[in-house]
Amino acid sequence: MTKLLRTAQAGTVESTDILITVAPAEDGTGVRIELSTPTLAQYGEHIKSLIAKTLSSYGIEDAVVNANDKGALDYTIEARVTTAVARATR
Amino acid sequence: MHEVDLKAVLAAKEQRSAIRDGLIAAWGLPVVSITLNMPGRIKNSPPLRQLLRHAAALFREQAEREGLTIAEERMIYADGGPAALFAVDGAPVRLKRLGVELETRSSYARLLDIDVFDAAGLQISRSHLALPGRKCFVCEEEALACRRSGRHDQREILRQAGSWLASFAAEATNCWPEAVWEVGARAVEAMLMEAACTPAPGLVDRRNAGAHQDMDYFLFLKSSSALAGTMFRCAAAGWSHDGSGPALLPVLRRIGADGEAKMFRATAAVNTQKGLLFLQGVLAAAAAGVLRDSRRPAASSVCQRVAAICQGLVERELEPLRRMPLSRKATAGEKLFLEYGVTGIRGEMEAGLPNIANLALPCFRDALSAGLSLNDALVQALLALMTVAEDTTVLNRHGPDVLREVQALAGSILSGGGMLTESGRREIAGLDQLFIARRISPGGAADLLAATYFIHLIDSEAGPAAD
Repeated sequence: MTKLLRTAQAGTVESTDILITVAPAEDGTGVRIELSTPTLAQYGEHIKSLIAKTLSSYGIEDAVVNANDKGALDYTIEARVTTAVARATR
Repeated sequence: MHEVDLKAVLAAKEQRSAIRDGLIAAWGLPVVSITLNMPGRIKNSPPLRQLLRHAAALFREQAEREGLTIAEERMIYADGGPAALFAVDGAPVRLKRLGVELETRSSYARLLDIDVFDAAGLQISRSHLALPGRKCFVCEEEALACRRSGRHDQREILRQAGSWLASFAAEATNCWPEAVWEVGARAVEAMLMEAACTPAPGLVDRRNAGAHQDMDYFLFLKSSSALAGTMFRCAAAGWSHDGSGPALLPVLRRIGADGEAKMFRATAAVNTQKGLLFLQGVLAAAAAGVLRDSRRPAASSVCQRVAAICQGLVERELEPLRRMPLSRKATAGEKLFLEYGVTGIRGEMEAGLPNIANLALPCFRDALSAGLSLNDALVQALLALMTVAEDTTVLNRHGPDVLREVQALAGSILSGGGMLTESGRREIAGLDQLFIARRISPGGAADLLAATYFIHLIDSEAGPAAD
C-alpha cells in the first residue's frame, strides 16, 4: 500500500488532454473521483474505472481525485495519473 | 523534424500550460493559445511551424483590426509541437469568438486549436458561445466522441491532415488578392498583343523586325515574359497603396528598376520595352488601385488615377534639366525635352492619357464593332496613335520634321478608312516598307497602343472584378 503525501497535479486542459489532481484521503475512505468530461454519458464510468485501476496498480487505496477531461484517450489518462501519483508521493 | 513519443508530447503540453499560467499571472489578462491538432508522431516540422506562424499572424492582424491590444506574445518551438501564446486585453468571450472564426476560416484551419483562458485561468470553451464541439477530421461526428470510439484508421486521419497541409502550402503561394492577379495578367497580355499586331509600320511585328536590326518578335516575347513579375508587383503596389497618388511613384520606380534589369538580362542588353515598362507599370498600379476602390472600373477612372500618380512629374523630372548640364545618362525623353520642349510619355501620363481616352480607345472599339479582328483593330488604333503621338522614338532618331511627316502619313491613311478598306490595308503595308527603308520606328505610339488595349481590357464588361 502506498500513501499520497501531498496534493499534486499532472496534465493540462488542452484538447485531447486531461488535468488530474490527486490529494491524500483518510485511511479507509477509498478512492473518490470527481470527473468532468465532454463524453460523460458515453465514457464517464469507463474513465473513472480507468483512473481507479491505475491508482490501485500503484497500491493507492485512499485518494481524492479531480479529473478535468478534455477528450483524452486511455493512454493519456494512464500517463497523467501515473505522473500525478509520482509527484504526490515524492 | 523527428518523431516524438507520448511522454514528450505530454511534457510539451505541461510546459505550454506553465508558460500560459505565467503570462496570465504577469499581466492579469486573458491568454489566447494557438496550437496544432496534428495526429501522428511528428508534431514539429518546417511546414507545421509555417502553419502555426501563419495562424499567429492572422490572429495579430485580426486583433489589431478589432482594437484589441496584445500585451505580450510567446512563440514556442518544442518537439511536442509549436505554439503561440498571446496575453490580450480583451473580453475572453470575444477572444474565443475570434478564435473560432480563425479555426473555421479555411479547410486547413481545422488543424488549428485556439484556446482562450480568462484572467483567472479558466478556459472559455465553444459551449460558452453555445457552439457545438468541433467535428472529426474524417466524419461528421463530434471530434472527441469519435476519437474515443476509435472508428477511424489512424492512416485515414493522417491522410486528411496531410491533405489540409497541402491546401495550406498551396494557399501560401497565393500571396495577392484576385484583382492583382487579374491586372498583372492583363498587363502582360497587353505587352504581348502590342508586339504581335501586324503589320505594325516600322515596328517589330510577326512579319518583320521593322526598322530594327537588334530585335525581333521573339525578343519581345522574351522581354515581355521577363517583365511579367514586375507587372504583378506594380499591380500589388497599386492595390495596397493608401497614400497620395504621387507617393506611389517612387515605389513603382524601384519596382521598375528591378524590372529593367530583368528585361536587359533577357534581351542581352537591348532596350525593347523600357518606355513601355514605365507606362504599363504605372497603369497596372492605377488599375489595381481603381479596382480596390470601385467594383466597376471605368477607363476614365483608370486614366485619372494615372494622372494622380504622375502629378508634378514633368515639373519634377524634366524642368530641372533646363538648369543643369545634360548628363550622359539622360534618357531619350530627357534629351528631347531639352531640345524641343516635348514632354513625351511623362506629359501624356500626367495629363491622364488624353490621346488614349479621346482617340485610340474609341478608334479601337469602333474597329472591333465594325467587325475587324483583334489584330486589325490593334493596327487601326496604332495608326490613330501615330497621328497624334509626340513620338520620342521618332524624334530621337529623325527630328521634328519627320515626326510631322509620320503623323501626316498615318492621318491620311486613316482618313481613307485604314484597316477597314482594302486600299487602306495596302497603304499600311506600304507604310511598313517605307518606314523600314527610312529606319523610322514609331515606338512611342506602340507603347500607347499596349496601354490602350490594357485599358480596354480593364474597362470592358469581361474585365476583372474586385475580390
